[in-house]
Amino acid sequence: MSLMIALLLFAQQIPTPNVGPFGAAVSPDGATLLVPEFGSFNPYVIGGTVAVIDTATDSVTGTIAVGMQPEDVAFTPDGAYAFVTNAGGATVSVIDMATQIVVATTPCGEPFATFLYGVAIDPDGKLAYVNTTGGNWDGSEENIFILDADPASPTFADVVDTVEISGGFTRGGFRAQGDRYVVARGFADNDFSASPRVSQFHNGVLVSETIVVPAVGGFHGAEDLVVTPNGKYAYLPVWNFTEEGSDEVFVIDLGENKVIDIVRLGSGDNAQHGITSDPSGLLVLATNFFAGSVSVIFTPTNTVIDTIPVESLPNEVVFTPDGLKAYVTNQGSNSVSVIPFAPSLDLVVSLAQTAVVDPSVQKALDKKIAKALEDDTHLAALVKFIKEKSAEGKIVIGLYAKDTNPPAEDLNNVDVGLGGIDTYTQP
Amino acid sequence: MRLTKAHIAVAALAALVAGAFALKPPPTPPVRREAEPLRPMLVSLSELHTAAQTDRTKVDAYLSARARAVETADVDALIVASRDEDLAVRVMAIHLLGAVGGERAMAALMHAYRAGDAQAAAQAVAAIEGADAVPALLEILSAGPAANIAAEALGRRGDARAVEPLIAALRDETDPSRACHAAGALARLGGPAARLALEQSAAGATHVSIRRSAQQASTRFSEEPR
Repeated sequence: MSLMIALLLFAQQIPTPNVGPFGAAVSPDGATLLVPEFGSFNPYVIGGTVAVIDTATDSVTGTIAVGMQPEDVAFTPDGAYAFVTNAGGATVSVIDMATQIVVATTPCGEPFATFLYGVAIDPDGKLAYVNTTGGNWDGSEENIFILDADPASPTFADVVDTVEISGGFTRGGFRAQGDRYVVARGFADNDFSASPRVSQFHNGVLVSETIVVPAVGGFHGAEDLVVTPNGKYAYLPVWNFTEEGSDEVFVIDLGENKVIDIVRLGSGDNAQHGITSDPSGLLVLATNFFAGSVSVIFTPTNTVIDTIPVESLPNEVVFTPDGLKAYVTNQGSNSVSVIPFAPSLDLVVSLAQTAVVDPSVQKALDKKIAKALEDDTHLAALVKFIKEKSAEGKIVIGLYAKDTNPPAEDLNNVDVGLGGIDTYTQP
Repeated sequence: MRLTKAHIAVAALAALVAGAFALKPPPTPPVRREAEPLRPMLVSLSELHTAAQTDRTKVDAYLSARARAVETADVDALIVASRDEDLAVRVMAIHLLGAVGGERAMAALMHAYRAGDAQAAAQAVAAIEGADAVPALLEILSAGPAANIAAEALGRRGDARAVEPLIAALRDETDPSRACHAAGALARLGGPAARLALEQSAAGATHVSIRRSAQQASTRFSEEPR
């Protein structure tokens, strides 16, 4: 595990071939970024493609024709297939990544009615969960479609189950080795004044919910959530459908089903859209849709350590598996922002950790930090933060440098996203 | 989702949509008319759909307005609107024609398909239930654009007329995506000819995705003999 805090010099922009980049997913091997291109409303354009981006060169290498108004995408764990939700067409396109051919198109509900949204595939690669926020013409509801994602199965790509519960389901993820599907739910009981919820499903059955209560605003929703890599916590951004909003991200303990922290972003925006975690779980990034920026949350303290400008209407944000880059889809400017996360900071963090353990190296640390700070204010803010916490006698947990290679069992003890700095003692 | 009191927030917009119906002229014999009578409704419906895409509190209002549009549909006016210069109007008209169905709607949808609105028209045709849609779906399957939608829909209808065209699509590797969808459709349709075609493609297709899709479909076939 490595910690790589953003050493942001500037975010590179990749123009997308077509309009309305919406969701995003990086292949498990980190080589390919897929971006569904939804289209736009003014001018009215019905999107129907997925952009293929080579992450080595950060360039578009092709487009894949899918269904109408594609919104979200997820890879199978082996990267062999990608599932794309087509919101307008109410279908799921299944792409064979080896050839970049759509090999199956599965109807999920009714065109221009069911409003397909996010898709997530369980860690075993057996099932794909397709969330919806609409309903069917006949008034029935199928809020989550569960598709067979196993290419070895006779029913591959077919709908094998549905979940019918009131409300709108947007994006979700998994915890407990895939035993729990965690998803953002708005408008429970079809009440638009209802607060957003984090819902957990087991085998398609709702087993628990945590309700969040935004500080201000009228109608609230949640467009996304992320489950931390250790499966213990969910970070839920709040979307406000009214003028006022709370500019908050809620931290939910998924085991206890309770809100343990609220991160005030201070972004000046009342509508957070996408959210993701870096592979270490130490950073959570949330897009501020109307402000055109990304808030960087440091999870051991649940503190915003940076707000990074991107382009217009940033929708989704995803990390590469190595944590070296984050990609942000800018729905309003038809581009993808690339945010580099510099490995050079590993050194500083490693030294900071060492300094906590052994104060005698503090002086040397200061010199090395000072050198690292010469041309980067973002880094300065982070290191200032670390030093302040160190000065308070608190140990910054889980700050492993890439080259320290802590054993896996140690990582299990790192309580990322606790909502406050805790102690952690290396064996 | 059900209609709830929370629709107050969007009631005004929904009322605009509903109000457009009051302007609709009474039914007359099928003569060509201008799209204007339906245009305000279609524009409003499209705008409401747009709003529902970005503001989920408006989904129910949109669905209600759309249901009302289907119930009171004027097919002639929808046909004219399906050829409107405004894409948003065309797309909404096409979808309503698919929901309404019928011979004239089918003909208009195929016109829209050939005129370039292939995805929307193919989806609308696929939404029309019954055997009447099969010839149109077969045309879409052979034409190319949005053939995947046609193949998938044909596979679910169980109409024997689709078997041979789907076998031809499976064997035509110039459109590998269509061939893959044809494989899945043939597995649903079943029968000796479908089985043989799938087995042959599973063993001999040049394109790896087609071969893999045929293999997967053959697995389904053996699991679900028909």
